[in-house]
Amino acid sequence: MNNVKKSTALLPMITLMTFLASGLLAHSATKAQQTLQDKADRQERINVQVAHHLDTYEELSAQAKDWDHGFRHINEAKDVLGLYRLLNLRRFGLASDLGQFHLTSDSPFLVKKQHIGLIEVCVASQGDRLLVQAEDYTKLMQGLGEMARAEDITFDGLTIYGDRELGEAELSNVCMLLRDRGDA
Amino acid sequence: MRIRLPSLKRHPKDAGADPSTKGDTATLVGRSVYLSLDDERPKNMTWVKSLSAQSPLRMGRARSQLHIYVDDEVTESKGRVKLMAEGYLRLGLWRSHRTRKVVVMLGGEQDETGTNLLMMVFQSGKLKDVAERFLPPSPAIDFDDLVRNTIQSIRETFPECSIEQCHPLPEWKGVGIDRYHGPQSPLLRFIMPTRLAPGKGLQGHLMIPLLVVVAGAGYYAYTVGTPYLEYRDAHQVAERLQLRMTRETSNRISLDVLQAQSEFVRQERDDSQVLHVDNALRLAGAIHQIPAAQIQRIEMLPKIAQAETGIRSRLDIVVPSNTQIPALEQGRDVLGELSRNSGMSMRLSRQRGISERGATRAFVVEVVGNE
Repeated sequence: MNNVKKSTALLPMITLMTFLASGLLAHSATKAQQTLQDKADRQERINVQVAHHLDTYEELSAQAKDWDHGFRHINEAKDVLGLYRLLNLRRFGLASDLGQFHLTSDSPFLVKKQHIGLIEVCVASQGDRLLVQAEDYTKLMQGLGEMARAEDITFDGLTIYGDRELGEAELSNVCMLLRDRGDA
Repeated sequence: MRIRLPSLKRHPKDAGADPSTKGDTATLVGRSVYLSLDDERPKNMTWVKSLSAQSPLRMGRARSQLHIYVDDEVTESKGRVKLMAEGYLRLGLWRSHRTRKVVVMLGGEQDETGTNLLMMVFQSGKLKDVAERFLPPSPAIDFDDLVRNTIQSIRETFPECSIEQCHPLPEWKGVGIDRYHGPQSPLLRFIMPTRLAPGKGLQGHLMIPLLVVVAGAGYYAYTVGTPYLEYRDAHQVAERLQLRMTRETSNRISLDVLQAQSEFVRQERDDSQVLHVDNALRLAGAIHQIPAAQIQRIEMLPKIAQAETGIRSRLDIVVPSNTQIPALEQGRDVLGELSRNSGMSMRLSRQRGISERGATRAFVVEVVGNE
């Protein structure tokens, strides 16, 4: 009973304190709510952006597998013979003088100033031009046509000689696009 | 020190009024009320409230309390009552503070059965003592003498005191009372009602603060909890995305590179090298349609050279000499035929466009566009 009386004497104070505490609690709750809501909204916006980014990345990563199949890896060209094999003129029914075959330049292949994981490797056999031969002109023209359509080979000039025993042509700026990323 | 007052001014039950009814609040004074300055609880009485026994203006740490108990029979009614003792206490404290003397407040009640005299002694803004005295009813022969004796004994104890009598006792004149506080005295008139609750403990008193705390905590939990749950969900999603990102970007190819690769794959392939071969075939076919014409060279110029010179390709052709016509005229004939066969615009080169080689003539033809 004594404790009750003492506590009850403090009752107005306790009540006042609880009202004050509750008021402070409500005030801080409002502030905390705003802060948390802002954080939640910001996090959700970031999540949407990241999810979109990841979706795009996944979609493009799937295409990157095709990319790996479309280009040979530069590690396969350890020397001139490797380069010659990578160029693989035989697939077009063409040949070149391996003794004269050499590298003229190699540099990153840029798309809109962006290195996209390809190295442009340029080769030649006579000066800066690549002399190719075929058994006859029919095979030469057929081979040149196939070479022109190959995804990984570029050239910008072509000279066909009609006064040679074999079918012969010179190509200028013959380059190959090779991967420098991913598995060899 | 304890006193027990003899009567109830208006007992809620006796008055026949509902004590809980506002505006008809009973006033308790007399034997149903028990006052004490110590903590001992009287039998058959319920503690109602405790009041500070000193003026709020008084400084000091020792703060005693006046405990007020009410008869259990009264508290059963659970009504609201005004406790006259509260008025006496406030008035006594105020008068003590004002007069700076010892003030003895005389309260209580007087009826046909007798007089209960409540004495409260105030000094220096503090209730020092409470006492009671039973006197006969006022019509008694010795009533005035007994009152005078009582006043006299008070004056002997507190020589410089002010003895003041309070409502609802009637004013006793000519007995040595210094001041009478009637029913209109504000401190006696305005007494806050007290709700009676039988056996009401601390839990009951703490119910309101408890409810306030619970309500505050509930509001906090709801207000903060809702956005917190949203934030937690968003954070969990972010963690899952982070894991996914770590897994996806393990090959260390940036999105920019992937996008550039995709763009490169999608873009229209430069078909100039294919055109070179196709046009070379076309020109070779056109030359072969000219009797005895031999191809020395078919040169397909690079794009840059085409842009600089305006020439797409250059042909070196050898034909047997027609001695009947000048070389230029033969050259025009060859050019015209070639142009017709190929569907291309051509011209003889300005530099060594025509040359004689024994029995043959050599022409250098420049293709400048399609017809």
